[in-house]
Amino acid sequence: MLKIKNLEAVIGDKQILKGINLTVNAGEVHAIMGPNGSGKSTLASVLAGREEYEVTGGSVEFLGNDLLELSPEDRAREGIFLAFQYPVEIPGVTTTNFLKTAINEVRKHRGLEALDAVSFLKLMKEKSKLVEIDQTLLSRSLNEGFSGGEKKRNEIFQMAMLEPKLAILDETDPGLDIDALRIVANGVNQLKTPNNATIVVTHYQRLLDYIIPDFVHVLWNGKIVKSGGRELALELEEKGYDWVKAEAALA
Amino acid sequence: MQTIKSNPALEELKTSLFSQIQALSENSGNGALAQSILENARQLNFPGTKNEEWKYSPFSPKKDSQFVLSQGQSQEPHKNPTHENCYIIHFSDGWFSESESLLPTVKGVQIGPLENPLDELPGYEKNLFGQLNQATASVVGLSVQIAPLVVLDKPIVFSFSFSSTQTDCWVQPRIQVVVGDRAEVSFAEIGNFQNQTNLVVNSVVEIQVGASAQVWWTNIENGTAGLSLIHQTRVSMEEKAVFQHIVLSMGEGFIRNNLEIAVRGTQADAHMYGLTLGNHGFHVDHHTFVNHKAENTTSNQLYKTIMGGKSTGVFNGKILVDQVAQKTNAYQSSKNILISTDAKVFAKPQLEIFADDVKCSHGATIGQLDEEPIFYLRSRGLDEITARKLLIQAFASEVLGKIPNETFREKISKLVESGMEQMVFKS
Repeated sequence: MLKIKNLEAVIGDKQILKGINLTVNAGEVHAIMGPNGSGKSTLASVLAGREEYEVTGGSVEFLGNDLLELSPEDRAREGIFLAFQYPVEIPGVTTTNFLKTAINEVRKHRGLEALDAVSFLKLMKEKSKLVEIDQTLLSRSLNEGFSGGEKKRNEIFQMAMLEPKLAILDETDPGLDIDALRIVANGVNQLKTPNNATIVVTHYQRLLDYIIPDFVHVLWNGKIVKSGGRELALELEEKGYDWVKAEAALA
Repeated sequence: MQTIKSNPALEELKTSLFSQIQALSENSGNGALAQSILENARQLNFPGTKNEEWKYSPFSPKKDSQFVLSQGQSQEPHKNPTHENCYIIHFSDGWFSESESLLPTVKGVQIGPLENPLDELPGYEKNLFGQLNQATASVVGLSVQIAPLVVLDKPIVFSFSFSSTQTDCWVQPRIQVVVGDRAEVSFAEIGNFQNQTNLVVNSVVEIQVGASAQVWWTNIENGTAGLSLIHQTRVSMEEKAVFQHIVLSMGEGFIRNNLEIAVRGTQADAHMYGLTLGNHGFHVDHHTFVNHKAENTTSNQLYKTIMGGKSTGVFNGKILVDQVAQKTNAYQSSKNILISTDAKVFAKPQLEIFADDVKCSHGATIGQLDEEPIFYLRSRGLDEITARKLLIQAFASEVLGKIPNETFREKISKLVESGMEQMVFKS
């Protein structure tokens, strides 16, 4: 589904990604871990098409297409979803309001008919149950005055509505209490199918107690320096990142 | 557009308007009154860039304009937009047109010629436009009197149409609205500007809000390229009066609004809101002046502007708190978004506070749309232009939400939507 080869990216004159290689297949959950400042969020941002980052080398193929050629909206329409680390507050725009436009753009792109108001509301109701989000939140200004947990739940709700092929969750856990974490993780797990894939970007192992990854990668200094199964996350939890850094330095 | 820079041309225009006003007033038996007003106005000039209050918006009519003062209702057939669920008081070329009106027949509402036009409210800037209007107030002015305790079931719309075949028209509508104690009324002013070439509308509205009365005022200004609108609104508020003024300015042309409110009674409460959409060469200047003259009074101003094309927006808001006006709460905010590199905004708050126990604040921001929300919406599948439009609509919605009357709110929302369609968004 996703093939990242030797990906390099800079912001300003600072190189952040220094040759990332990663392949994600349908049905898989990948966790990308690493200490602060290692480039995890940059990778998520580059995949979603954030324009502050400039790709200076390598390639990203998504479902056979050159992802880097696409605008952020076309990536979304092709099936990429980024759950933001810091979801923005947009006064005056409600979730319901922009999501209807978003869904119909995605449907149009996939050759489907636009949803009418009734089916849209029905879908909203169904999906809001899944992530246990209060429907009144959805008719309030986006994220304005939302708690940290409500913001993250809203992200997962949007993901449920848009049914992406590849979901990228950027640091979904900081600030989440254990109930919110469970609900968010539960939503992600329920949305998992053999046809879609998830990349979880996280600093802590905690989220991975709830979202079980098939693969764990450690990002350090702009490169993936170690990959493994779920047990790697547990090892990192126990021993920290220093031993991986040391190994990488030797290599 | 070439503009007259030299004073002789404006001097000539002044002389010409003076004699046209004199002639019009004599024909209707008001010659002496007009003469005394004009005599006093002789020392005033059309404001230019050297006038501090007008420096961003000097009056500069088209070169070789030969303005003709409107002598009466336009005779050409025209179609007025309808306003459902409203009473209508119609003005044709600035003159009250009863046949095109739908007057309230409710007891306690009196409509008739303006007999006692208010002179300039004391302390306000005397300008030539105001004086020119004052000189014809007894001839063209209309007065609407609402008796105490009347709660009107429908809003009153002042609608304006203008001759579209004539060029160089000078029109001076004058309205006085007196709302009695504890009465409650909604008003709107809606100008129907079409393809007029070189039209000057020099309008004055005076509003007196009685004790404990509530007045909601909506002003829709959808200008066209040939329009110069100089619109002065003067409000006085008695004890516990509530007054809300909302203005939408969009389209093209030149618009200067002066909104002056004297908060004279204790516990009176004034709200002033503006929404401006600038495009092409549109020039909009909002000057507000609130004078708190009594204790425990409140005023709240929020003016939002979205400027594109080569448009220019000006906001100058002055708050004056008299020494007696202790416990005044006065707030003012001017928020401006520029969506093109050629658009300009000038914002200037002025506070003059002579009382020592007050809460006053002001703020002005000028910026572009934030990129982060745009990226957020794009990452959900909205294209960039749709995202920008949505954000501008959201920016505007704060003001739209203040409009209490649903009919006007819808009307304005639709206008804003259509205004945005015409804006050029960078992609």
